[in-house]
Amino acid sequence: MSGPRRALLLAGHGSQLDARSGEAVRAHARRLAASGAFDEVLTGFWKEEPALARALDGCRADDVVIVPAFMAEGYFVNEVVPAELGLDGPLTRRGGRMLRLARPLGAHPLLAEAVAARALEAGAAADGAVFVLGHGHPRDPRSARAVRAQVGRIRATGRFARVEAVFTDQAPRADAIPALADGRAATVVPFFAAGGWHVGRAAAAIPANARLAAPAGAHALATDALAALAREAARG
Amino acid sequence: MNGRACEAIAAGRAFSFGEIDVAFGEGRVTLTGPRPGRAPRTLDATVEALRRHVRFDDRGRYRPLSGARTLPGGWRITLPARLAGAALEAVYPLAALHQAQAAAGTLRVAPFAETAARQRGRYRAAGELDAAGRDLARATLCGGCARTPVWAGESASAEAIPCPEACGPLLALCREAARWRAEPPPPAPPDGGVPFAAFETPGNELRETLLLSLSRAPSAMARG
Repeated sequence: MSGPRRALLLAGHGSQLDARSGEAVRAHARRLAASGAFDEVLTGFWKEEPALARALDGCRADDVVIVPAFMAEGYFVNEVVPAELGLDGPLTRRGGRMLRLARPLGAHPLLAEAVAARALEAGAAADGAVFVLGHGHPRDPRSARAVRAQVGRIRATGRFARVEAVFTDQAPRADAIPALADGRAATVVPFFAAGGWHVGRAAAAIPANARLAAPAGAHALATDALAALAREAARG
Repeated sequence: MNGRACEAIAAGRAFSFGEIDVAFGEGRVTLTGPRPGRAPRTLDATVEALRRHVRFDDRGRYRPLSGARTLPGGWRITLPARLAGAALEAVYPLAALHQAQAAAGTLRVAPFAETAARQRGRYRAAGELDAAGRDLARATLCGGCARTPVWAGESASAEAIPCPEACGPLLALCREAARWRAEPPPPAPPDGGVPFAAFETPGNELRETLLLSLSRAPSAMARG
């Protein structure tokens, strides 16, 4: 006899203006579906189709883990995702089904590895300065917390001479990079779940001589992080 | 599963769905887009190639609303018949499922007020648009969509694709329209180069259409 059917729902932001925004989440979902760890792997987006609010319309699983493909434990993870999915908290029982809300992608330690890998891909050297560019929020300290945690992890490896956090929406911003780099070659790694509007805006703001890496959240290591977060939530 | 699309797929029978035609033969399914002409382009035979192709219209603009009647024209794709459902899903996410649920009487329909009440941040304003303005916004956006807004009380035929809930683009349009009610911006010439859902940008085709409609139908509040 088989056990309960298990599903994984990746909850992403998506965009009505930028086609790139949801692609990384879809790529993660394809890889996770191919792994066979879940009976169903679904995607749902706040601003794209399928909409988060309808993402479980065809789901047949008894046990659903929802992993927010967001980088911070802030507004989207704590307000938007629960509201769209009608969640009561980390664990929701509804119609004989368990809905488990995992921690967001940006909280997992593997993201530090993803940032380092992105920096190296972009040409960062051991004597260079790596800047982890997050969103941040001037009134919500939760937004910057994950970025700073990952910066601490990368610093601890000693892989780069300098590792700093900068933000698009709070200080220190990208215009602080030359001073913080202190003459070292700068590599900026966007701490975002995907390419799109935010990364484009970030690219426009960084100094011309800084290298810009691809977003950390779109790296294959982020797929592993999503799987690990799902396992963590499934254990309860 | 019930529903005309699901039944046709199970029977290997040709059918139309939104803007596409679906045909079966020799263990394969062929989807044909609008305006195929004499020699439609053949897409790579993968569901992912299809999904990526229909993300953009003939002008190269991103299509955030899958049901918008702006599918690119002149293409077809042939896949193993077992992928027919996945191919439909790539073009119209959840549409076959919702059609089947409507046929079975299990489709969960959310009225606009329920969807609007769930909105956070700057999208809360979508629920502040008066009913007349909301009807005009719906006519503007949903009038060009292959889905039938059953959330608004419209009835959908068995062949139609029912839309059970106001979509993100409609909420964004209502949010802007609520602002326009208070302070109508000047009209601008429609510009097909402006992104489909850039409702804040003068020249956006849906924005300019709705602004014109709103100017002809002042809100009850404005009429005093």
